[in-house]
Amino acid sequence: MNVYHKILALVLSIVIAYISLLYTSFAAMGIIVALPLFIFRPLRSFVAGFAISFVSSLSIYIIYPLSKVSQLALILGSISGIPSILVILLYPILFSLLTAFSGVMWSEIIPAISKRRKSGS
Amino acid sequence: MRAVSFAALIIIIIAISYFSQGIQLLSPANGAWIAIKSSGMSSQNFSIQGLERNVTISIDATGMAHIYAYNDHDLFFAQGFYSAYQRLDQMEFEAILASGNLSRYIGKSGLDSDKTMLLLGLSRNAYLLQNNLKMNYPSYYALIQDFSEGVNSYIHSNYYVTPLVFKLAGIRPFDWSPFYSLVWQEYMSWSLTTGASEPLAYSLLYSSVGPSLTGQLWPYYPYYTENATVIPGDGEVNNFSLVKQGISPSYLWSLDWAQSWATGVNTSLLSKLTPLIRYALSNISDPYMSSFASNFVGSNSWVITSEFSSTGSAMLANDPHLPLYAPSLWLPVQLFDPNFSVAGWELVGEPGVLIGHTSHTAWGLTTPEGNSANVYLEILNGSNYLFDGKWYRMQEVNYSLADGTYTVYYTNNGPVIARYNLDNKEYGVSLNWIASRGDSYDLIAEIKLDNSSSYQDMVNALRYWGSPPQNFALVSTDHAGYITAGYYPLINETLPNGKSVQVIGSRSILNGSTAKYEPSGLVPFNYLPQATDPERGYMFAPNQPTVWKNYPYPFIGGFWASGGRAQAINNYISSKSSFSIQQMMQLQSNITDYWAVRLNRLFLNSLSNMSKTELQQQAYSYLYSWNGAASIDSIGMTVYWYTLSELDNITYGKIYSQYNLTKLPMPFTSTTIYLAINQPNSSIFAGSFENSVRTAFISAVSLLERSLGSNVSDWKWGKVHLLEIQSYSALAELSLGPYPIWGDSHTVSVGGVPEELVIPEPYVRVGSSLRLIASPQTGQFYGVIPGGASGNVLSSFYSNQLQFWLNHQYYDMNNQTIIARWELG
Repeated sequence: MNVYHKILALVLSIVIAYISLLYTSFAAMGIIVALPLFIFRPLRSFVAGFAISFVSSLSIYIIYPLSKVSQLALILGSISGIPSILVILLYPILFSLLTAFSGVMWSEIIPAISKRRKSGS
Repeated sequence: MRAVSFAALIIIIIAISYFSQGIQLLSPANGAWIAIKSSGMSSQNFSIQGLERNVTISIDATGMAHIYAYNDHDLFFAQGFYSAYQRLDQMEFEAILASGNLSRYIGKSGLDSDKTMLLLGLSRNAYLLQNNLKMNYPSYYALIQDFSEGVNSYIHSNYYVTPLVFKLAGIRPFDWSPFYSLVWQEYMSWSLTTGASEPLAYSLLYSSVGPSLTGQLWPYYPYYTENATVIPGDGEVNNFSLVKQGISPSYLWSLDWAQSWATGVNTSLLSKLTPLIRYALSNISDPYMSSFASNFVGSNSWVITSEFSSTGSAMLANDPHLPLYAPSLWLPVQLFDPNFSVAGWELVGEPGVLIGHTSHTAWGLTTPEGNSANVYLEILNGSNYLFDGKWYRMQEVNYSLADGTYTVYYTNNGPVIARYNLDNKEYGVSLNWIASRGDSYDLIAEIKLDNSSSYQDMVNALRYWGSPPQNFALVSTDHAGYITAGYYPLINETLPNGKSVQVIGSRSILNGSTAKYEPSGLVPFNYLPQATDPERGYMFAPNQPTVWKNYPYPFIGGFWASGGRAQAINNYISSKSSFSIQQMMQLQSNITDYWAVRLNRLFLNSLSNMSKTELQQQAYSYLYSWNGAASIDSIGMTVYWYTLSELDNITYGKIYSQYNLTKLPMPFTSTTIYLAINQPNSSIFAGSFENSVRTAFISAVSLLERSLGSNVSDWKWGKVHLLEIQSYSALAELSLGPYPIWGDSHTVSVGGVPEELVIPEPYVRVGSSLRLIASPQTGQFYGVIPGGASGNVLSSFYSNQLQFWLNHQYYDMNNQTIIARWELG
């Protein structure tokens, strides 16, 4: 894989991350976001997956005024009994972890399948 | 990677995926955060279906929406759209609650409330009303439909943002319809209806303590209310009175109206049926809403004639005391098209403006507390009821609820609200409520008021008002007055002297097994309590007796307020030679307890010669120098209040607990004053008012010391008397407060709480739900609500008016900067 492919994989992953964040509310979409990252070695896939999902999900908050985010975080935190900072970070963290671990998974599975196919042919 | 590691990886992914199911609510783009999107009030264009022409909504700095349309359809459509934008979750919650569907949304904890709503027949009444409106007044029904279409247009538009409460509860909105506006009207009507729980409570007291004590504790007319009725004079209206029917008012009002000649119910049987009455009282009390607000609804209003007004133009003040919710029950709006030019407050979910003004007229509402419902004792046998010697089958109406089928049985009088077996005989209590006729065209009256341009227009509009009867304060450019509009059912009574008279309501439960006590008609519109431009220059209606004793249709079922606010208003206005807008505002912010000023003198007399500890002496000093004002900083008020509460506890409370009547309301403070002056050695005071006051004072000081410490200067009223404006969702995070609050149950600026021996007192949750001062001729309109226009807790308009409200300040409703403009098309 050349640099061009690697950049393409990163861009694709970022695009899927934003699409899933804007149009769904399922953190499990992180599994799909990680798919293009299979071209990286597992550790790099983990780091790239985590970074892409964490930054992209946090960046969504930019569409709201920060003071309102903080106000709502306090309310939701009080209702749920968890610290308000965690209310803001919980979704990005889970989304990122899912993307990161899924990245490792795809990095293991897809090259292995590809290798088996090649050896089979 | 080894198989074990790979398996662990898969397990981790599955575990996180599983856990993440529960946090969809926190998704940055689609979770609860999207509520932020609807928290602003910026200018925008809305492209929506259903409008005939473009509509402009200008939102001013107070949050009031000024809706400009080219025709009525678009006007009411846009009002529906705007209401939904601001308050959709509140509207739908109200509709769910009133229609008996709460349990479908919040689970089994809503079942009791649903059963109460279904038992009262709110949905049934609303359907009937809807059909009658459709059939008889299609043009008005069309406007209600336009409002609904506007609501649905918002729900189905691209601009719909799921309200926070819906997000938290996982609820999707349902389509609005005129039925939901009408069922909420039924709910509000029920909450302001007199004649169900009052005669039941009176029956309990009467059968427990007997006629003499009942008459002392709950007199027909509260003590000291003569010359302070809503309609000035002796009760004659439009040249008709009791005297003109050949009946002596003093004779009529000396009678015992709970006796069997008046009710058809034997008093000895009544005393055996106390369990039945208790069931009935419990079954008609909404368990959901009663957890929010105790029974302290009331209101203030007064009008000043142009002759008495310092500006030379008639003026009006109104502040309805209703449960204070966040968001408010009211939404400030102005509606403007070629037919309408009205501003004021929409009762959220109802089209039009319920309280407000046009450029020529203004109106306000208070509750008159006279019976528009009656309760009947029924003789039952399984599915049958006895009427005039014959058995008839009860109508059964079945509802499907989460815990099975719920059946409501109807006699000719209405729903059977309780049943009880006594000596192998089955008895029931039925409710005959005027709203069940389905012809309370209150929304027509409201729309006609919104379209009024003269005093006579307003009076004519009120011919359509049905339930609940209301004291309508009316002012136009040239007149000021009142009419107590609505349907009052009449009962034919034969007095012990053989004369017949038609009366409003009953004191106690009526015999439902005979036609004799059935409603025989309604008070004719021309003889409803009413007066225009009184000679003295003013009138006032804060829930005191509507008319005095010569009224042609005696209010036997008149369960009035104590009249403390009425006396305070009367004293204040009558002390002036003319009256200004500023004085209207000052009076609306008055926090002096009229009864406290009088009772405290009696307290001081009783305590002056008593030997006191140092702490008691300090508390006494505050009481001595206190002027009766229930201000936040007042210490005298705290000492007075807890002394009064303790006095009530050791006098009336003792009697009540002896007969297991502890849930009944305490007698008024005016009763205590009357008895203290006229019967100081009464058995109610265990032989000595003075000793009772001393005991109460010692206990109160002791309680305050235990709870607030021995530094008396810390015993401030605002420490023990707090306001909470609660979210209807019951989430504290969406509520406002608690705030230290002025007033008590008898102050014009009300802050009512029960007299309970707890520190702090239960939160104040009922109060002035809006304040209006209007003078149409001079074009002066001032108003404020304890909240704001928005139902979104993140919006600055959720509570932007609250501080003004707390400070007794007003917004000039005619002179506000426009901060946003919405174009709908």
